[in-house]
Amino acid sequence: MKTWNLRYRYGFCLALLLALLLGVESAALAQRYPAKAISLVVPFPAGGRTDLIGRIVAQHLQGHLNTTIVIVNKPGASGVLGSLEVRQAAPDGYTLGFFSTAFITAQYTVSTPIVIKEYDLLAIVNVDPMAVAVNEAAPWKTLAQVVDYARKNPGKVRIGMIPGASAQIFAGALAKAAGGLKMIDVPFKGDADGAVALAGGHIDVHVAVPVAYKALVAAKKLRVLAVAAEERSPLYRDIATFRENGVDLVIGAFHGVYGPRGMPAEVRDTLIASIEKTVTSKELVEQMNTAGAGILFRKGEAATAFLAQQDATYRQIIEDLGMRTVPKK
Amino acid sequence: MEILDSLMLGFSVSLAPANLAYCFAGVLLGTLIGVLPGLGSAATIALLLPLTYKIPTTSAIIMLAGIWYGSMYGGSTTSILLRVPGESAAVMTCLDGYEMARRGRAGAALGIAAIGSFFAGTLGLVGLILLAPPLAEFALDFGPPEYFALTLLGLTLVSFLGSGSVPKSLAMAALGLLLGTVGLDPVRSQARFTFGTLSLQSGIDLIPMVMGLFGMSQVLHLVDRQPKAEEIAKTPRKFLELLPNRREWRDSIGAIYRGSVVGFLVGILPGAGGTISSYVAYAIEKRRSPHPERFGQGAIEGVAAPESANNAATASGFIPLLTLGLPANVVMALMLGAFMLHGITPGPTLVTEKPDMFWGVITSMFIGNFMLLVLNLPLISVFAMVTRIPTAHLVPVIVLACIVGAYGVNNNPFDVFVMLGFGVFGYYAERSGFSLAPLVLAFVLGPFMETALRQSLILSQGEFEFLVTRPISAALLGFAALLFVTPVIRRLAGLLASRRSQPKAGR
Repeated sequence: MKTWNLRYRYGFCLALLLALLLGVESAALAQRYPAKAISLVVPFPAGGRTDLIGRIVAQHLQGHLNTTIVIVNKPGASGVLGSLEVRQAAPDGYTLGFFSTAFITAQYTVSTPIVIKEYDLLAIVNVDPMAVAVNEAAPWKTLAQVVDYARKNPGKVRIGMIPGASAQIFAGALAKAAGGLKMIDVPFKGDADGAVALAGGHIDVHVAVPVAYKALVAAKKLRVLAVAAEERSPLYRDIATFRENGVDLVIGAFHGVYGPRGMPAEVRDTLIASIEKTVTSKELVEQMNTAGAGILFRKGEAATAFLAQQDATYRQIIEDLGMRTVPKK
Repeated sequence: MEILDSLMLGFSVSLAPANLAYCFAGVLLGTLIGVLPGLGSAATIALLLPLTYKIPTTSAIIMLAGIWYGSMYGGSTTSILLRVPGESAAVMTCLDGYEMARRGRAGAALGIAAIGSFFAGTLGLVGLILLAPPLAEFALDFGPPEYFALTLLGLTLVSFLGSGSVPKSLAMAALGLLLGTVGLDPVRSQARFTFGTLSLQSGIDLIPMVMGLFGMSQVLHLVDRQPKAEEIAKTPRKFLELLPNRREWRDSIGAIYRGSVVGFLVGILPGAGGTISSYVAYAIEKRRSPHPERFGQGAIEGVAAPESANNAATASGFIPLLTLGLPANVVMALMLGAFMLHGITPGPTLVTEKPDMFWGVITSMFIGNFMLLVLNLPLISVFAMVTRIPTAHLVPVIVLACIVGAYGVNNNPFDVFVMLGFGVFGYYAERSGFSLAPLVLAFVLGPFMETALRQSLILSQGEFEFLVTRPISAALLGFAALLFVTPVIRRLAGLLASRRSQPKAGR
């Protein structure tokens, strides 16, 4: 009995000490941000494109913030599960999200409670244009030739893409912008298996971001015909734009850093300043380029305007293509 | 002897002290995360990815690769000892491995798993060196129709996987196919059987499912029927007695060899990899065994074959990555990320532009496999002691491992409930004589098969001709039909023979 009492007393003292320490720690937290590790939620599995770009950004960002950034992969429901996790987190700047274009498209294609107004967009960090690739042995040398062929042979060209994701929207937008082409949509799980099928000659055309083709282009299996960018870029080996091929379409996939709405102003400012330093640093630019990812930095109102413009563009395309499954609110 | 020169170059890189240290760190870490069911190799590699930026590329890849094949060694440990598959590729090892452990042969099961893995890993590497470029080209010929034929062939193996009644196995396979349809459909992204939950939109995850079916259900079995004291005491205490005996060796050598070849071939195909190869290897062993009834009752071939297969598959899984730059699975996608973080795009140019890196990484895997063998054999005696732990202490550990493991896959508490649900289901299913393996195989293959079939039909505009007009697919389907029909014919022949012999016996 006596020993138990003693143990309880020790335990009590220990608990008291712990409480005291925790109190001191939380007091320190209130003083300066960031005082502990930050979780960056990536709503896709490890090894994917969003994950890779998120890790590159996080790796450099933690140096500028003087803290550790832990990537938390929370995949599911086209990225919705991960974004919900961020919305439900305390707006203290210790839970952030690294979201892709799916953050916007999921509003219309996945029945979810996502409302982008409930998030605070800190900065847009990356944009890559959509690209069109064909097999190296294919007769087409330009996108205009593909469009011409598809117009003369409706329902013949087999185009690979990921259903329900931005790639399907790309494919649909291409068909529409080129004057209502009729092609066969062939669904694939990801960009990699679609690109392999293209290299094996099982489909005719494939749409994805340029980096998806990098290895197979180097292997002389595929040829990228055009990118849907504003202008040519050395990053994509100076490939022609859609507009040069008579297809008036500028569309791409982007990534940004988000937080839950209601973060304190000084936390926001610290984060945005650090992200800016990160994204403009020479090291990061080099690393992103070698990973085949383009840089676009937008903060504050420019970022909000970018998001609103992308939102409008994608909503329009999704509705035009009849892909909207979520009724208008 | 160009290859010998290349290998010499490779070993000169991989035997450098720093690279040896990274290799050792990788395989040690891999073994650990393989043993701990909560941590997968993908999560660990993802975690270490940014840290490797500061070390030379070759060393980084050597270490990350070590984690990958090291986890395949470690993954069998919990399957054998606790019936909790640490990795999805270790599911088949549960069936006979755990039965062996219950009969006091945990050491033999662990030993044959380690030795089989070593042999298969080494053989897989030899295959990787000699056959990589032609095999990568061959993989490109596999379009949707070929994948469909291949998955159908895989599905005919279902009837060999279950123990006991064939209709019950088929029923479980049908249920597995049905469970595989949960989530967004692969063509139109329509939600199926999600009941309005977001967590079901991506379908049911394999890991929580197998942890429930095998690990959690085993907890219920243990509570239901406590192992007797003498059963536990059977575990030998001397190290040499722990290792496989002569008979066990004789039984498993063929299985290791066949498992390696099957694992190597299946491992090349994107998406399939270690998990499916271990099923196929197990089914083949059971099919050709003169005593198929021993399978599921602690047959050592049932451990040797799948464990060899999944290690050979880890070696051949590098082929598409190193020769075409195509990741065959999540871990390979992370490896691709690791290369790219260092500014290198792996592909056919890698071997000519950076031969020291290419051959350095490959030869490091020889060294790593050897390290793993040396590392794992002494550990067997430590792990074998687990079987002597009383049930009352073991059960909470298994439950904890299952909960942590299920949660860790997607950081989603929903998966924990999935695991618990499948635990209860698995317990009652097994008690009623329904085998779990056909369910898991059908669940793994089902979505692949559906996607491939629907892709094929879209490509052929609804015509089924592709089944027979394409040579590879026709050959695969013919083989599947043969596999399906032979047991029926054999049984009929057996019936006829017994009828003919019966009157004689009556006389």
